[in-house]
Amino acid sequence: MPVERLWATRRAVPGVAAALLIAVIAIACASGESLRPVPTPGPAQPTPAPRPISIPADERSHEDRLEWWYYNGHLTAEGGGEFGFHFVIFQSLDDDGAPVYAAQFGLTDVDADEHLLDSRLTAGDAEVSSDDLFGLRVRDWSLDLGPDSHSIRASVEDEVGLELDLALDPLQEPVRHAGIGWFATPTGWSYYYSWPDMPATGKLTVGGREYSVTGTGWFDHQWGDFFALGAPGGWQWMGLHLGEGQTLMVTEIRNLDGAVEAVFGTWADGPGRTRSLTEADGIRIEVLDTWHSPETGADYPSRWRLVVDGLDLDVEIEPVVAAQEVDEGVPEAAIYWEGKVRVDGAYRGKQIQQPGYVELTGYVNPASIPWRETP
Amino acid sequence: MLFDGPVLLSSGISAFIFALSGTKRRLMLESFGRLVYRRRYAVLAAWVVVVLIALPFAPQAPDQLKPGGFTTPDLPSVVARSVLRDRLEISTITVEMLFEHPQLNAFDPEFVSAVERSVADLRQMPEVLSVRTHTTDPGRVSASGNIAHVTVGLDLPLEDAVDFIDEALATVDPAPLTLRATGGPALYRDISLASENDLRRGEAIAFPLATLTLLLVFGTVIAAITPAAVGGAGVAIALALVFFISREVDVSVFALNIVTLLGIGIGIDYSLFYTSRFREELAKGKTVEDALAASQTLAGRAIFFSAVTSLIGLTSLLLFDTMVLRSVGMGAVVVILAALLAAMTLLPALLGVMGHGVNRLRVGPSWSSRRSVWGPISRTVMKRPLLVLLPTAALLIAMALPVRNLRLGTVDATILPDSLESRQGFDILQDEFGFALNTIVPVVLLFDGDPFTADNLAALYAFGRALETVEHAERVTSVVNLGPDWELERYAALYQRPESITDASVSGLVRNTLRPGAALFIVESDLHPFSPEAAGIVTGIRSFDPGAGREIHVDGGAADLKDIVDSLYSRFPLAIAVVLIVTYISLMLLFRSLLLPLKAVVLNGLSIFAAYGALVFVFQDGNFSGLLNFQPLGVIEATTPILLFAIIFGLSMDYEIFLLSRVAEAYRRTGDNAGAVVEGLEKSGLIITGAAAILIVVAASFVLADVVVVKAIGLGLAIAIFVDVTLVRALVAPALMRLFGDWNWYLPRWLDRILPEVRYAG
Repeated sequence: MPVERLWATRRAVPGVAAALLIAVIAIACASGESLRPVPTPGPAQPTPAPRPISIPADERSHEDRLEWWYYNGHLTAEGGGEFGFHFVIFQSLDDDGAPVYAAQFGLTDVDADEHLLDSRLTAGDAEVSSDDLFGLRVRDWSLDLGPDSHSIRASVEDEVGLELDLALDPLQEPVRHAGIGWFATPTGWSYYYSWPDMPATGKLTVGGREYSVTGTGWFDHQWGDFFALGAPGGWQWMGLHLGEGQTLMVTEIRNLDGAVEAVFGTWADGPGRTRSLTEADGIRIEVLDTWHSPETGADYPSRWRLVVDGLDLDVEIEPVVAAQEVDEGVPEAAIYWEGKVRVDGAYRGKQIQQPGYVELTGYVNPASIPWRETP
Repeated sequence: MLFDGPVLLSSGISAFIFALSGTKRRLMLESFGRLVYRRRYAVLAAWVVVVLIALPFAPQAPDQLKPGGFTTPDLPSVVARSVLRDRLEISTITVEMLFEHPQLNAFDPEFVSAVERSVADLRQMPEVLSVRTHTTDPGRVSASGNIAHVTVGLDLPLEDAVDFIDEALATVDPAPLTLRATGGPALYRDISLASENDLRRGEAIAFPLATLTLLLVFGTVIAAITPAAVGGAGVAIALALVFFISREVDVSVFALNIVTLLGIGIGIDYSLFYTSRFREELAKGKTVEDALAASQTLAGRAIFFSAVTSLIGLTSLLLFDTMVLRSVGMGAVVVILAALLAAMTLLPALLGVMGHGVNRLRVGPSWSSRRSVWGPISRTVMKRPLLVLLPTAALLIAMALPVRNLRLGTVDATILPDSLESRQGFDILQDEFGFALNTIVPVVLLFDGDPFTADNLAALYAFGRALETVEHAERVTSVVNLGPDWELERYAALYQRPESITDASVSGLVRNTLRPGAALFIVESDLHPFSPEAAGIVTGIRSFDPGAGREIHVDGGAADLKDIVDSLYSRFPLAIAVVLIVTYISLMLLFRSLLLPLKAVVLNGLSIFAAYGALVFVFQDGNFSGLLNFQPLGVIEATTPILLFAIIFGLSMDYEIFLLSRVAEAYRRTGDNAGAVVEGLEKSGLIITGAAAILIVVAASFVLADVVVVKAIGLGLAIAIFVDVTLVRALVAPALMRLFGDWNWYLPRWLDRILPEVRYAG
């Protein structure tokens, strides 16, 4: 018997009673049915009013579209060796609220003149937390934020044999940027605070050789409902050490025409004093040189003159290694440059030579949208 | 238009057949019976030739038939599917591939490369419209991190996709990962396979039981051959006819269901009715030829009118433009015609050859010595008709009452045993990704030009916000539904240069859900997709006027079901009404009565409704689910009522005419209504219960099936037949006839004059 399709179909047929009932109702309703216009949208729900950042509660993850925990640092190995590192975990919530985590770890070996990079990606549950500890696990990489110490563990999967296990101490008051630690952008809003000068100790393995390392680290925590836009939009971000525990964050934001839309910054010293800087403080970033990425074809700024009149600062900034592009674990439009730099110049009448980190986004030409003619 | 067509056609066929069957000419059935007897070997040889010709084609019928058949190209959800395909390059026919490894994370290079290697060939295939992997959409990874979900969109209709996935997946080597494939085509394939296994198992159980029942009912081994011959030959010829018809016009697979189930049913009915009469006549001492002539005159006529009445009623279905209704009608018509032909020619020829041998190899009491319980029952009913009618009718109505809560739906993978790959994949999608738990309604807005012009963006924004206001819409996903506090200005800023968006999910939305002139919105609800409220979401969305030059199209399971149900509720009740009206007229012509046809139609309806009610009580509400070993669906699979309607209608009509023919025969002889009813029941009851018992055994065997839909149809059929031959035929029908008295046979004189003369007992 050809029975294989006997019950196979999954389509629907109504029962007599239901069908008759529905038919009657349909006839009864038919005369009254009409289209209604799409309503004119009322005002959207207002952007949530900013609230004061609360530590340690706000160290943890938030239910906002984008969030990241970012570290950079400058390490010296016992017995010699100078290194820079950056480690970041991004959390993004997709439209149904499911988190996706992307992590990047870059190590700059100053003596070897090389930049090592790896990334991790995971989706779903990555948080391991207790009452006083917030932790994230992005596969074999980890981040733990306790009340007295942060720790990060990351490794690079190749023949280099690279591994970092670092503890960083948040001894200072957190630095809240843009005043209360909140600022708006054309595409949203963001909370943003930092610990810019954290003593760091730990182990670093490079080429199979393990070092005890000490140094300083910089922690940024940013979250909100906003989008980071790619080229020609983007930003130049600088996290600089000025000596004697003083730090400076400067950000220059470009709009989608490529024009500078905003420049702002935050100066801080160890004991917790901070000063928000705006254009009125005479912040100027002058690009002195560029570096062409053979990987992505992007031309990144690679030497700068930074002047902040309000701080009596005039320094030149130069990467210790030109090729510090981060092109793993991020969408093409979000590829960035994150690198250890040297800061050399005048600050409040003194010559300084300090380390820093620079982040450059929006320099890789984005892929076109196949169905759309590029405007 | 639809109303006029079937009525006119059926009336025309009715007039034609009855004109042939004799206004002024008596049916020459007796002579025909004698002719068949004299040429019995030639007739048998002719049948052997015909069946041999049919046999090679019959098994090919399934390959020609189309699945579904509930939609028409103008159904809104069907149009929406075309719009999705043509304007947004989105296919709703997908293969959901689940790659898993016990240790590796989905983003480990080894895992990623295994996935990419597995889908590399698929990407190149012209049938593949899109391949979405977790490497471009990280949300496609399970919470545990070791399962990746890949969706392959196919540019194929469902039935072709079933064949395609087997071929395409055979080339995939997912090592070291394990791969489970699920999704529409895979589920469709496995539901078919599981149903086939179930049916085979059902047949394995049904066959010996049915054989035993056949032997007991027919009483001898030789007599029991007749239903196999009539049913088998009828089904084989009908399937061959279906094969040839389906080469010319689209026919749904439902034609097969009708041909096989109805064919077996009426084959048993006709054989038993005819054979019992033959044996009755032989017992009177007649020769084989005389017994056959008498059987052909009396039983043959009843069979002829029963078949013709069913034919006329179900022919009406042929004129409906919904393929499944047409196919059910076509299947019924060809199998009834084939069975009728077999009953009128093959059966007398076979009995002619058997002669008195029909009573050999006895396995039960002789036919003539059997006493029906229907006689005593009918005498009791005649004494206390109201006392019998009221509680019995109340019971029938109570059985039918759950129909009020009937919810029609479609099956999902939960009807499959969890040993099947597609079910395992479905469970993973449900448990790890929340798939299939929600109602997902894809909505397309069509407009002119680039989506990012100020006007179009404003229109998209307004529509996106409007969708958020639809009742029960929990979430809307689109390029303009990124957050509740997002104002139009913010979207304008974001989409100033959409290429520059770095966020993978938004970039994905721009690339996948927009095209020039078209935007996709996904509306999600926590409601079950088959709930009435989910249909309300579809209605709510469609009720928006998008403005001049714009169109709204809604697809998805809820829309699909709603549209199909809407389409059929506008046709199926009409189809039923036409079948019942035409049946009424045919029976009125046959029995020269106003009331008896009405009683017949109402009682047929009661049997069907009682079966529907039982289905709701058991399979929708989940009563006896433990005993019957199934997981309640919460809905009745929507094909079941229509399938049951056609089969039960055909069988009930047999029982009704077998019964009424005997009653009419007695009434015309005696003029005593109550006596005629008792005699009619006494003489036909044994045959009706015997035929019903065989079918109940066959149908009930399928209750042991794994696939709940097979189980439901088996139980529905068994209940309907049981109710029909016990409560309806034995109690309600005689009680009503007793109460109607001579009104049973009332026909206004003016009507009697104008109606053609097709008197049954002439």
